Amino acid sequence: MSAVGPANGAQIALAEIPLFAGLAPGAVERLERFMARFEIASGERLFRQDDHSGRMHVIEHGRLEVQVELPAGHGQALAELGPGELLGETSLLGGGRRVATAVAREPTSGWVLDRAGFEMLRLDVSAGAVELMARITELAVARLRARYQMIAAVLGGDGDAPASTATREAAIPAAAGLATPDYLRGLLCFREFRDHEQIAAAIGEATPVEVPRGTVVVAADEVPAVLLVVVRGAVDVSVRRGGTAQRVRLAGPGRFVGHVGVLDRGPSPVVARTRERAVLIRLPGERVRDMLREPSAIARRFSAALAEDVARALQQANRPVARTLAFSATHTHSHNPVPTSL
Amino acid sequence: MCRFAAYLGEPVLIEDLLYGPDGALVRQVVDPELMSMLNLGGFGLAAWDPGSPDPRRPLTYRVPTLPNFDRNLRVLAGKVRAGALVAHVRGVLYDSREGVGSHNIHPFLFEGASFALAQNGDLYDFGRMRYDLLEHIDPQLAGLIEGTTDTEWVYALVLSQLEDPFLPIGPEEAARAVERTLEILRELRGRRGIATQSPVNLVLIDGTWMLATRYAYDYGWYPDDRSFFAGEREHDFTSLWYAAGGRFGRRDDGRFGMADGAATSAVIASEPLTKHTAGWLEAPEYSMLVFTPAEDGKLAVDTRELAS
Repeated sequence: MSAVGPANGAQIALAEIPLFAGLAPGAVERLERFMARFEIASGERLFRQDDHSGRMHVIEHGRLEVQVELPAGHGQALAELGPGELLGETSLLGGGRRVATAVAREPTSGWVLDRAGFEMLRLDVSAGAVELMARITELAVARLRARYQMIAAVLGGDGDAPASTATREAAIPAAAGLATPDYLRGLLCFREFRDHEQIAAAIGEATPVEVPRGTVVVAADEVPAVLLVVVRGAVDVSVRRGGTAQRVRLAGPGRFVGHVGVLDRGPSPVVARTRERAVLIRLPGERVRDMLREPSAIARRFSAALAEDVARALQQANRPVARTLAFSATHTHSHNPVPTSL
Repeated sequence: MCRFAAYLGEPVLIEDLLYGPDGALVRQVVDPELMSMLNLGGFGLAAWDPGSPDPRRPLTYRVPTLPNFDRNLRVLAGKVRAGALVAHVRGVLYDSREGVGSHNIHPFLFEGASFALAQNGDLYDFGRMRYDLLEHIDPQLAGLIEGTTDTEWVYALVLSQLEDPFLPIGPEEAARAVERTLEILRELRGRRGIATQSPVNLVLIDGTWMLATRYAYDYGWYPDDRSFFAGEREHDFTSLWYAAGGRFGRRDDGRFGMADGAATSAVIASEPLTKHTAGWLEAPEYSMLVFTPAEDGKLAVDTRELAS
């Protein structure tokens, strides 16, 4: 790949891309200062699975194929992306490694935002930057929803398995000692918060609740009213179809449950059930959505933690996809959807 | 916390697993990718060479020193091929109360037993439940326990679930013994009121099959203090990865990994042995992986959910 300097004169095309369209006046020009151009030839690799990531690419011309590399040299094409589409935003949000390889199928060019530019945007509390960060998070949520739908399609069958409605939430207020300020500050989602007061401000009036093991805390096909913060214990998040289920995430302390549904106000494609007894904080969905677009320091920290967790959920959702693809590629693995009786 | 790696399949030079890859087990002593602690409590190995005399009896090597500085191990690893292997680097708390010594080195393999066992995990507050296990452990096996680590007791407990702990068994029998062991431990923890997170990632291997668990009791429940165990809440479920394919080694592209082609070999490891993880799959939480040779020369990989 060759970077060819600042994106001079690119603002008109950038502004036409849905992610950037309608941003506050001057926002695209500011964004342009953080971005550079890239160009690659047909057949050239833009990045490889497992590379240390830190760049988001926006395609202006051309096509890129996204592939996942599998054991024993097998590979599988996952998607083909074209003009106006983005790739790599998840790695910027999550700070991890690339989860797939991108190869140009024809000469391709566009813009690239690196980690330094991304972090500058995160710190920027101007209306345009805050809106852009919210949109990137929502894009990642859309990808997560699509990934869950893909897994559901692989599982086949109709609708949700009966087990998901067997036990609905039966929460009681958690004992004060189970969610002390010191304990909360050690959780992944609050580690960037300055002090207890900031955490308390983010949580608002939500109080921790204790939930027995095996309780459904997010039901499939319903729009969740609250975003759950796992304080203690673990929540199993599964796609369930036709009597079988595939776990797409085990959310432990400091992780969120219900982003898909709360952030996009759509029906949940997953069932979430406490795998261990759990202490949860239930943040009202409206408050979460508001914080995503608030410029305050507390809202920015919370939104960054939420975005990072969405990226983590996407990485975890790739695990069953990889196993399924490996199974179909090598015929050596027993397919392992989880029985719904668990 | 510890790290382990196990291999089953076409014979490989031991060096290719322990030293070769950029994430090799010996490198994980000081540079593990998926944990924050160093693994300074010693090194152990059991390796089966199908061409050796008495091939069911493995070569064993267990020392309380660091493999990074062990010239004898390095030379040995460069000369011996193994068709099955389990190796372990022991993680211990940086605390003078830790029992560091050869008696606590994994893998454990009692004289006459057919399979070895190693663990990446720790049973919280094990001292309070240690002697409760005796009601479930064959006295003959209890007498073979030399060390203080929970893993050796778990090994004795697994063996005690077998009709004859000194006869060769198949993977299904081993899997049932492990499941029963996990049930017993759960019951004893409950009796003692122990409800703090305790990962139990086990690997068992006898030279012809291997199985591993990715498991934890009370995941997500940590003590409210400033201990190592409290700090665990910054991490997700204790990891376990595997890869299957042709023989493990240096590939044509220069990277280490499984050779292309049919799955005749497999590696299980606490974390991938290569920084490039494209060829690796993460085991599901609360699962057991069972690797069994099939009649066509391939390995069958079965993933099973474990009750919690």
